[in-house]
Amino acid sequence: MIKVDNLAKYFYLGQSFSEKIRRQEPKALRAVDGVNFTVEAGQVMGLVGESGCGKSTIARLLVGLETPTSGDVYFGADSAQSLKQRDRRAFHRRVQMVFQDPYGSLNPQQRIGEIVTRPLIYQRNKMTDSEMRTLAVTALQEAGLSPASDYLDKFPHQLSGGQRQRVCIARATVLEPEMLIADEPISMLDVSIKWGIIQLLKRLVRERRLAMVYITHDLSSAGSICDQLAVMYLGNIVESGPAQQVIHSPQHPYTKALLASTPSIDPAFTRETAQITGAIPNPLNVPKGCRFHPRCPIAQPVCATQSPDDRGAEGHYAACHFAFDSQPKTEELA
Amino acid sequence: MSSFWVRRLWQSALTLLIMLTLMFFMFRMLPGDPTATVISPALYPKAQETLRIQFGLDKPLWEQYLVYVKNLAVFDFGLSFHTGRPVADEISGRLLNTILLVFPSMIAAYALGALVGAIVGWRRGSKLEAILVFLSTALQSAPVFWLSMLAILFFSIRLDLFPIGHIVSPGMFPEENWRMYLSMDFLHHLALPFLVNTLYQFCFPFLLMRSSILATVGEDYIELAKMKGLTDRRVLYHHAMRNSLLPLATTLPMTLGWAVAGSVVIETVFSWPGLGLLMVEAVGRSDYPVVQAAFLLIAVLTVVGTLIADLLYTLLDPRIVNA
Amino acid sequence: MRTFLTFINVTWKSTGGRISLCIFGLCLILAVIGPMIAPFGPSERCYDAAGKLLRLTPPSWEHPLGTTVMGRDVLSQMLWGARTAMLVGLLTALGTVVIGLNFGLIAGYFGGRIDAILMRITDILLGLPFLPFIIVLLALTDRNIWTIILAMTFVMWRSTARIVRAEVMSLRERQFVAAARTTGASDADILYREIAPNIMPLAVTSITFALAWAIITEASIGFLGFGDPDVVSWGSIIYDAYASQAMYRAPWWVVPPGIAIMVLVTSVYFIGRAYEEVINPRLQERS
Repeated sequence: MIKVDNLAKYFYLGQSFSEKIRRQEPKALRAVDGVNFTVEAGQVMGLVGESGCGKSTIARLLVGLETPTSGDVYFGADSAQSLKQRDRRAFHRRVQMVFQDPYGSLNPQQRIGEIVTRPLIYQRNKMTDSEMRTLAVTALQEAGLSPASDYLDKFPHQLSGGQRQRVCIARATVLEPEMLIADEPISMLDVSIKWGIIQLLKRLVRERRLAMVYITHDLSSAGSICDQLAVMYLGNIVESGPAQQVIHSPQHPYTKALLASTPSIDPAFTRETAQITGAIPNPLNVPKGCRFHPRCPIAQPVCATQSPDDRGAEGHYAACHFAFDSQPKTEELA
Repeated sequence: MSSFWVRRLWQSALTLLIMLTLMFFMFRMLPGDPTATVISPALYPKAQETLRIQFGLDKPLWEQYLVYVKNLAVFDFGLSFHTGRPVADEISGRLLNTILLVFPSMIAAYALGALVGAIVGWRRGSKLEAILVFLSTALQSAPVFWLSMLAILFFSIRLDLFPIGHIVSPGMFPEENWRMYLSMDFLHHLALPFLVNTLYQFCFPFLLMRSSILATVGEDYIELAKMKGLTDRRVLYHHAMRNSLLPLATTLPMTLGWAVAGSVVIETVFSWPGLGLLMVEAVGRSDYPVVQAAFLLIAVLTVVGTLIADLLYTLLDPRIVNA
Repeated sequence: MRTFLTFINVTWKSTGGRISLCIFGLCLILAVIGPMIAPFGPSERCYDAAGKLLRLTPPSWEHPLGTTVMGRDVLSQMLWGARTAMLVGLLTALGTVVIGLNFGLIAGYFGGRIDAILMRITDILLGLPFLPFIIVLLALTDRNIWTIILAMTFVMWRSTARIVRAEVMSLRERQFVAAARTTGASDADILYREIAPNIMPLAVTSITFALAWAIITEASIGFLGFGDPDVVSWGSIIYDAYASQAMYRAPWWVVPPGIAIMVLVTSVYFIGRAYEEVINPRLQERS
């Protein structure tokens, strides 16, 4: 089980000379501001939100590309931060990532065989070349590139986008990690091959008992891959719970708005529509009270002053003063 | 004055300071002892001591360094080992001679290179293009002293069109005043080294202009200009060339530095009494105060030339006016 | 090795590249075997049958490029000079690229203070007048071919470092670098196994420039009379002709070394350009 505990990342902006003289507190951009969730082995946790909500920063924190300002990630009993300091390579072995851009995340100068064996070399595994090659071939075939011998000597530019993303997946799984982070892995692919990549990821999670964090901006499609969902807004999780529950009975007005903005294939299926207006506030200047209140269609005076606690039960929570209330509230508005 | 210029000036000053420090220590630390040439070990110890005090060599190194920097600040380069006269007198006038040889030919090379490069790039694939690319590269690849010698052999000796070297005919201007630079005789002497240097420097701006014009062909703003019905020539001179001048301007500081440093060679072949020739001669005579002064002035010329070229660049590029 | 083969392959694609490679290869072979096939020693004096010193004799069967004022065989000197030119050029280019590449990689990758310091050093070196500096250095130390190579390397790495640095700064932001890091790669792994291979095309262009410059500069040093007195170079042949005042009377003495330098350096430039034209898509023809 992987537990994310009160994870936060603030980026401090450079100060001007006069600000330094006046000893002003540096401005902090709160990209991730106290996030908690757990992922079980063999399960997929979806992180959903608009761009700028902090979901990609969480991905970078989880794989160790950024160091958290506070909070930690636990693999069972091991703290990721202390593990990273003790043995950086061992830490990286446990968490791997599939990046959004299958074009930029493969080194154009390396052959596919090299790309997939490099992680083993970087881990200083002291394996022989043929051992590494065997592992690479297995990983490639498991990622759906078979026979692997057709691909080993090719360069990335000779492959299609979907094939490249499969190479990225093979590179991540060759180290046999416990956790896999997938940062919008299909958003840059053609529609026709998206489904294949999703199926591959689901199979890997099941067969290898991986804990996966799947990051996307598309809430409706997240339902088809994720077991759990967490909706993020301005560095916070505003609603979380079992994927089907979050999608079919959303509690937070932001979740509802996200769902309303994505078209449904099923014409019989209609959702309550909730309009949100305005743009995401400047993350340097987070609104007081509930972060969502300036854009919220059901905001009340209390929302501007008091930050809401999580409400809910049985694994489905929403950070809204009016979540899980009896229906009148929404009818009142209608 | 923007902070960019403050930083740029400060940077140039620092470069020069480090360079003269480097010079100071190089002359005192390296194995060839410059003082040995003037204070002969054959002299009586007493006489050696007197000379040592006269040249300030008895003081500790750091004190010598301070005196050295202080003197440089007032253009006091000490006395020439060779003539015993102040170095400042020896090199006055030399600086101007080098500038007059290098800068005009650099400007000519860039102007010519830009124009020819643009025309050739615009009509790409012509026979002329291939020939010019080859010729200019070959010219740049040949050692400039050798080109100069061939030029002298052909134009001066065979055709007797130009004098063989020097800045004016011997005896014409015994007092070497400003009148010299205004005479036809001076221009006659300047012509051949100017021509050789221009042709030698032509290659770089030419190739750069050609490739940057090539890159603009097919850009939207060029297509638009053509669609507006402008004449081909107008599109080239008013639209394509303007944008292609920028990369050319970026390289000017660098190439100017090369040209100043390279003037040593051209001055030697043409016996042109500039800083470079002075330096080479002084090295031959082990006249170290003069070598140092000449080197420092060449360095100043390089740094100042770079600074001017940078200034020119900011004037050309509207985007960095207030950066 | 693979880089080298790709380089030959790429350059071979254009006619200019092919011819230039052949010329360069020929010079390389001459540099190796030249002194062995040279009919006379580089400073051997030649006499005619009557025992008279052959001063400034025009080309003949015996001396295809004539003799110098000291009675030395110009062709033999040319062959020895080929070795000097190649030695100086290749070693300087190699040194320049090794130093410049590493400085550029480190400055560009780590950024911050390391970058600021390294770039200030190259700034100062850029203000240093190249040839005069080397002359002063040679005047103060002994005139030795190794000093010349070291001095040239010391100044020339500056441009390579700057070019490489700019490229590294853009490469380090690419996702494959982040991907390597998440698999446990160290900074050295990333620099030398991930980023460096992407710099190779730049390094190759930079090598050709350094090579060309080194050959010309060495010739200039030789011509100014600061060359290694024990080593014959094409520049020093011209210097001898110049110093003896015989240069305008004996073209067979002055013309060949100049042409040799010109042909060799031109071929080096064209090799670099042929390679760049294939590698750099911006220079390729737009349709």
